[in-house]
Amino acid sequence: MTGDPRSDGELIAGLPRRPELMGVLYERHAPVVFRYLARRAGPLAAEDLLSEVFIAALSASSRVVAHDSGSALPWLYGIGLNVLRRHFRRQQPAPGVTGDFGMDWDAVDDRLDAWAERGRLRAALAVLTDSDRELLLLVGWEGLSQAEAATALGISPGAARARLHRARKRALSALEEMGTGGPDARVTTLYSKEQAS
Amino acid sequence: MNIVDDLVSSSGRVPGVTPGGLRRGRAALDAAIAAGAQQESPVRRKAAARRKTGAHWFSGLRRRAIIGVAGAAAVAAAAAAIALPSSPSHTAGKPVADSSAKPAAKAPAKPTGQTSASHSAPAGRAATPAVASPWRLVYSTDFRVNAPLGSFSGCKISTGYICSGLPKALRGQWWAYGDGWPDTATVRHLKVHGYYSPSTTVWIAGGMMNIRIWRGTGNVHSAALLPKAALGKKYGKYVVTFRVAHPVLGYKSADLLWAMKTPTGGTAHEIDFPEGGWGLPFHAFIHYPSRRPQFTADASFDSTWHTTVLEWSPHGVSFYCDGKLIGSASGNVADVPMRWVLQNETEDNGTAGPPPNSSSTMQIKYVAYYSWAG
Repeated sequence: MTGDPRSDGELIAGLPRRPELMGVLYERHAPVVFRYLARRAGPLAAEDLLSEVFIAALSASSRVVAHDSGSALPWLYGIGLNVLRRHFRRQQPAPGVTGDFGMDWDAVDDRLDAWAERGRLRAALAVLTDSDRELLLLVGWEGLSQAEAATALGISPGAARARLHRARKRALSALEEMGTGGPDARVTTLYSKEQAS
Repeated sequence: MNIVDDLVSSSGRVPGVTPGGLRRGRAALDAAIAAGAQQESPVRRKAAARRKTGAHWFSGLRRRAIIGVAGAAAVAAAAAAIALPSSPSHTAGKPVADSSAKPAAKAPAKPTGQTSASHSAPAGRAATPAVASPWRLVYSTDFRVNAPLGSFSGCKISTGYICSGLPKALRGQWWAYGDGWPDTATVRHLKVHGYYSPSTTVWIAGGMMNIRIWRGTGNVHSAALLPKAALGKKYGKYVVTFRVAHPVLGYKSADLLWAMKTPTGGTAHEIDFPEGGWGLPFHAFIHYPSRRPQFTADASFDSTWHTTVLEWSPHGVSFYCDGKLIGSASGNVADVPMRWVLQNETEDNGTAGPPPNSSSTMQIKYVAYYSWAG
């Protein structure tokens, strides 16, 4: 945290005239934004992407006000999401890969302690659309409120509430299906995730 | 719903940014500020360029559809790039259920029971050229390039379905589920768990792929291999010649076609053949979308070499073992791109699992994929 006494809202308001204030926001929020990026793209890529988020924020700063909560984070998450999408598009590579703009599963796997949890997490997230998964993770991983997550995704709080409910319901169904071990609950279900969205 | 939130939040741990990373990011930001402050970021520059050219942001759905098409084209290109000119000639006595792509001079003995029902050209087609095969050989191998144990490592989706440890000649041909991925028994929380471990189980030598599944006193180390030529293909003919010389109960194989896309909230299409416990007869299953017909071969995963052929076309699905039709189904069969997985793993059929300190080896000496050209 920086010792600067100004609120995020005050800093954002001053950005159009004094872009160097972004440095204050960086000192204040870079560690959190880094974790957000690292959860999806892995720590190595996250280091590269961190500055991209704040540089992109500079160009958008004239049109933005802080969230009602007073935090710049929902705004930065929204920009971070665009930066991640671009990152995954750049990664779009190789024959056979249809791509998943929301996640580097290898990066996710690397940090799960319990092996079995990998499968469960994948199964739970595999059935979600990109936007529903993002919403669930903004709340579950980043600790955003529904309203803050709505700001990050550019949707209304009401829509966020409905989508979150839907996402949890679908994810729960997927987990229950795994738990019962139905005849088709093959492990390959989990790995078809990268094309499921 | 708490179970979902608990699972997500418990998986959200991640290491923090290093001081060096933080400094580098700040330096890049300061440089951008100094260079013109509110310059267009790369993201916004691209967006502006799209607007100028009349393009627009695609919705997620449309974007994915486009990527899907591009991906399919890339798969096709990759398959063409690695296609071999013809299947290898086979030694006498080696069961070869396919005849359609053989040079006429090498046409093998006609597999019994594989004529009208299978769409395959009968033996002797050189003399009766009017019968055209609807199958086109895309890929086949009799494993002439060796890969020592440990080669099937670094298997990742994110690098483009590459096992980075493989010799270059094989990287375009084979992929495997990565080390540490849970196998079906683990996913189903059975008594004995298994994890795919291609780096400790798979090697190619002596004209064979060897898949030695093993268990110490803990989890099973299993392996699922994917011929890349058959990745993301709609329709095809899938041929594999294999045996398990010394089967141990508690291990199993399920060679399967699995949909590349799982419908949101739905269940992926799946066709299995051959599937069964090692030492036991194997079966064919069509799980989705049809009503699960099941056929049993008159053959087991044992020391006898067997060749199975799975034919999947717009007309239906047919299963052959050693040239003999064991079952077929038509109508309401899968019509989406699938992947072909040679899945060897912990038995998941209610058994106690394999005994401690055991191992057993699947040997594969021929694999072929044909596209549908009917």
